[in-house]
Amino acid sequence: MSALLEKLKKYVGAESEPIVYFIDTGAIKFFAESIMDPDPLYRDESYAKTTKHGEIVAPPTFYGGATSLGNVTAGDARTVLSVDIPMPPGWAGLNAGDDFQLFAPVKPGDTLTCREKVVDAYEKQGRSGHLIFVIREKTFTNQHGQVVLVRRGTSVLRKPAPEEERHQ
Amino acid sequence: MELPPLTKGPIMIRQLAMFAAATAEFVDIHYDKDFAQSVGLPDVIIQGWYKTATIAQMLKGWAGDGNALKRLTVQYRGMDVAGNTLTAGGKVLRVSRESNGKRVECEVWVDNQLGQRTATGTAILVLS
Repeated sequence: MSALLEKLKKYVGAESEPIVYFIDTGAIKFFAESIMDPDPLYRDESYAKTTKHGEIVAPPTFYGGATSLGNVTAGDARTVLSVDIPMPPGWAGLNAGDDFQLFAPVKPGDTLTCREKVVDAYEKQGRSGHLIFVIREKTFTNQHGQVVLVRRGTSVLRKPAPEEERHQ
Repeated sequence: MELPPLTKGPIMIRQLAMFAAATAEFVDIHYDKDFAQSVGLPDVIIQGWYKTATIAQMLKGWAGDGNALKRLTVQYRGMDVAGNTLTAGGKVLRVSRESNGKRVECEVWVDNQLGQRTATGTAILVLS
């Protein structure tokens, strides 16, 4: 195990302070616009009433945007990674994967509380050098105490190859 | 069985900036070209979640209901830069009966206009 991984392993089990999202129709419509999904279910209440949902529901994977935040400001970096793991100098992090589990629809009027936990850290020797993977899990619970969504994200940390370093 | 593909794009920086606000995830490499290039990236890159949401939209189109999707697991295998056009596709791997409906497991992916498969994964849907 590398010294860096050993250091990162100490964060496994670390949990964030919760982040609260207030879901409204505007935030749902704006998410749909950002992904260019024209579905009227995401923006037209009278149309939504005629569907089996009976009301506007959010597109799958949505859990709130910048206007939804209750206890932090829109630009707060903790909405991306609540548990801050210090990046070694010269290393870069990228999102390597997402695993969304969707248990119940997200609807206008919902209050979602997100708690994030670091669940794993491991390393691999890849073609592009030494890679470290950090797995984080965000759990979203609604105002009824029901878990509506779990997002497990994989970040890959790497030190750019020497030929890339001239860009730094 | 192949699922009807969904193509969107070209996806410009304006769309990625909107997505950053729509998800409250402000990460500069997704809308600031100078910053992206200063950390060695070729250009502004499309959010991985943008690709996952596009796969979810494709699955909704096929299933007729976004809430049919129960799990979506996606690996981001390549970077897509602003200006790329993405096509989400998939195929049914297996179908089984469950008490609450038909459980369908699919292989899913995203291809860009250059024919590169930049995201791959699996989806589980329950169709009532």
